[in-house]
Amino acid sequence: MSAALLPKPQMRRLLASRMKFHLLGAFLVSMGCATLYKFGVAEPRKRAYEDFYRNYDPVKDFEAMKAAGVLESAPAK
Amino acid sequence: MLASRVFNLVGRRSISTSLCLRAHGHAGVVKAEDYTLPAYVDRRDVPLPEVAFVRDLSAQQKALKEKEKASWSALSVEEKVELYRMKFNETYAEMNKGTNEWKTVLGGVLFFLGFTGLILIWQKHFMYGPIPHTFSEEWVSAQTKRMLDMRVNPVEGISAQWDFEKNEWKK
Repeated sequence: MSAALLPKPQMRRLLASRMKFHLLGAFLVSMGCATLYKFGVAEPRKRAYEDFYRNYDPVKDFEAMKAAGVLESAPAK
Repeated sequence: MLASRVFNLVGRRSISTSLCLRAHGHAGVVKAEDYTLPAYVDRRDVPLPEVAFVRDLSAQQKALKEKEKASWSALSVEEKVELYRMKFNETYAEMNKGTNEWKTVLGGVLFFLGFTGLILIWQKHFMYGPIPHTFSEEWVSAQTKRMLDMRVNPVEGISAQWDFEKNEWKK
């Protein structure tokens, strides 16, 4: 025998405690990933589109593209 | 058909296995092969294996086994450890101990990745021909200018990085 007894290991409900730990962990990790994606990717993208279209003038853009000569059916005259 | 005829001639015994050939000398009982007997195994999920680890006990160990039949408080610590070692090969701590194998695996992986890199360098130098002319500096800059003129990906992409008023990349 060792000089001091080792602490008695957990003998029962091993699966239950493992499941509890991992269910909680899985829930937190998946929620965390979803939250990170929402606030890291989705919201900035929505804001970028809002900012772009707030003062967007399509006609001005068309004229610029036409002047640059990239529109085959609207040549820069 | 023919096989079953031969079977009937030989009788109910099976035709030729090495086990049965050896049985001819005895009363008809086959000596059990080692692999057919219950085996000892060190596994985390098998706490009490089917047999003890030490199969053939020496005289000293047999005496200890006899002493085990009496009160266990009469056994010394060394005797208890000896009895344990007779019954089990490794303790759980020894069985579960990690190895340094991962270092070897990682080292091997990195080594062969490096070797693959050398092969790729050799291939680029000795084997492959020139890359297409569309990768040249002039072509790529003309290509980028055309993309900006067309306003490719103006919200989040390349045209969003270009300042069209000042005619330069955004800071």
